Amino acid sequence: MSEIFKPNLERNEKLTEETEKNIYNKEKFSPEEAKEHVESLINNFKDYYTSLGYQEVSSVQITSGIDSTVRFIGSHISVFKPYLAEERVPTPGVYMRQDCLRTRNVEKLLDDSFFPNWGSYFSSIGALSAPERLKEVCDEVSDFLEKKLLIAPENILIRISSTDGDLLDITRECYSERRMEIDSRKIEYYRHKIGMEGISGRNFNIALRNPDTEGFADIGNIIILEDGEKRLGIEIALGTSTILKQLHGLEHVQDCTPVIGLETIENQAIRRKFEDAIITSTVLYREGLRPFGQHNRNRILKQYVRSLSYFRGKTGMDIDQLQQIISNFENKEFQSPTEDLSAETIIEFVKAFENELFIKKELTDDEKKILDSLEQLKNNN
Amino acid sequence: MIKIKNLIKPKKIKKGAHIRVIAPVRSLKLLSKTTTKEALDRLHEFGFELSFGKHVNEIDEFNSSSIASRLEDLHDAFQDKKVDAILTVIGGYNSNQLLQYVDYELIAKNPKIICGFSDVTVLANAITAKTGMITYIGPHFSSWAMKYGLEHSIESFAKCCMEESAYDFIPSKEWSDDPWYLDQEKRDFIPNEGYWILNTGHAFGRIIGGHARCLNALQGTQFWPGLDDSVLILEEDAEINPQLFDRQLQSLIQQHDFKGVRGILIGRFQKETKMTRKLLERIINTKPELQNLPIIANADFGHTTPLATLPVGGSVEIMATDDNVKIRIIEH
Repeated sequence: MSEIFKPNLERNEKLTEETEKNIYNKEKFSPEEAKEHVESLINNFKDYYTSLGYQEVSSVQITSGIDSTVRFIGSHISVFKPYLAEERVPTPGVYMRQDCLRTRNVEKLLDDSFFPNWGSYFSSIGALSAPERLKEVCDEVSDFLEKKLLIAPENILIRISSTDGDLLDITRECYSERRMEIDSRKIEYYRHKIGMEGISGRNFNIALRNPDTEGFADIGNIIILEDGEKRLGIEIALGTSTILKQLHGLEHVQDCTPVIGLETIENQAIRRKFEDAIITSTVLYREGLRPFGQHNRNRILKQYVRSLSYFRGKTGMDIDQLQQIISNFENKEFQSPTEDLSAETIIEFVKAFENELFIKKELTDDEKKILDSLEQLKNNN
Repeated sequence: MIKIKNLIKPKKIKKGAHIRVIAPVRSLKLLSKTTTKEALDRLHEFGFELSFGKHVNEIDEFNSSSIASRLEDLHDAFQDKKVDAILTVIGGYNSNQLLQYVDYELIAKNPKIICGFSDVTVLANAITAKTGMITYIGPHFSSWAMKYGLEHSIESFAKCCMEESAYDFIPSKEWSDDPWYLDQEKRDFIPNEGYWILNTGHAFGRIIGGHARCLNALQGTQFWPGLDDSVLILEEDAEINPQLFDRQLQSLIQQHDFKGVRGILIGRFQKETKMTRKLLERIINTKPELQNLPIIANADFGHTTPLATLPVGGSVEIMATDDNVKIRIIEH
């Protein structure tokens, strides 16, 4: 259960404790403040890279389809690919903010034992720099973390492979040896594929110290992108929610895109997946994607939308309440005028899918699960 | 497998909206001066501002105009920032002449309500297929000239094009099939027996279709809207007969993606077609591909009055039991 949202005396005492500053001299922020923190971090990043002479590249819709190798834009590399393909990465480079979707949780939405450590939707900040600028890129990232975000060097950890001599040499110049963790992971962790034939990436990861517990958690990486021996560019990829989770000691990355109204759900696995389904459905509906048709991305959206019924059944939530929660989330996250909200449409789709379940004769296993959950809700009312 | 484009919902219009009238099929000249004036008066009365495409009065031996003229008016209407919505003058036979020349990118960048029926089915479905934008099968400009019996049509137009919320598609109390444009005073209104529930079941999907033969005209072309997760709306005019309708329906069933159809909604047939409920049931029952689909007929759209507005590319839910049917227009 979220410690920061529950309004009772015991919790308030806890709240007082939790509002103490952590090792980053920060505290948890409230759901109401989340958007502001995310935007502030993004603007900080943009200002910094602008000051270095990088050019800003416009972000694209998650469903834009500009990168045929992915269903949804899951990284800014999709936007940067033409620079690599045409070998025209400028000096010092380009940067951008990109809203991303990685749907790795989708197959396990109805698996109650699965807890999602990641949300599907997040904002990524990243840059692509000219191939000869590895040292400068490392220095710039280091300065961003230490001077702009005011993270003390001892709270930053570099995870790197000893097989990447060039990266190792540079990082040794930029970071002290005691802040490096060498070969702690399998080699795949230090390798990248970007869906371009012949082009691959070697990376080291940047992690920040957990504010409340032992250890560090990854917040991004620096990747050398190369075609065989030829270096094409240096990519910087940072996750806003991973950074803010570490800096502010958030319980979950999704607290950066909070869905107000689900805090009291005791089962955290259900709560986080319910949040994920609301966030993902909303984001995709707003871009015009609908759960119709045989294409994978439409089918994936359908899985998220149908899971809303499962979760509302599991948590005893009536449909109007769900609409209100989606509507509040959408309003807060996207600050759109009421007529542009997708919440009502999403709910109409949820209702239609539910009607179908009650009529349909042959159900899949997932459909049976959803129906059971809805019948339970019906019986309880 | 046809990739369904992301949905683009044109902005709803309000009273005071500026409507551009264009003639992508037959010319405005085809209408009598009285009909044009009555349509204008009715639209003004309803609170709309009107303007006309530059070429609407051009007329050739087919009662239409050149492809270039019709395209120019279509593109101008979408491009002109002052225009909020577009009505077509009337139907005909040739809007498919335009399809390969339409600037779909221009339309996608300037989404607007475009509404008409009959031959406009071709243009509407092609635009939806190419852009993802919802288009509207509903009254032409000329339809607004009707003196009696237009209320239900206008109510439907308003729900579909002027309001955001989902709504139930409710049958009218009465209908007519008169050549009202010849004699506005000589009308025969018949009590509506309601929907014909030809097959029961549940369907939820994208609305595709309109005039059946016009939809057929898109088969095998790059403008085919695809039938995955679709609810077909089909209507016909007085030129058809039961055998012809059967043929056109069979042709749709033979489409490679017909298995994606979730349900069918059929508009009321004109008297002259001689289509009866019994004959339609016979047609449906002889087609095994239709046996598990909910099929509802005698709905208020097509070439009889009233003429509901339906959103091509929007979504609809049909729930039909033996004695009850609910049709909900969800996204429009």
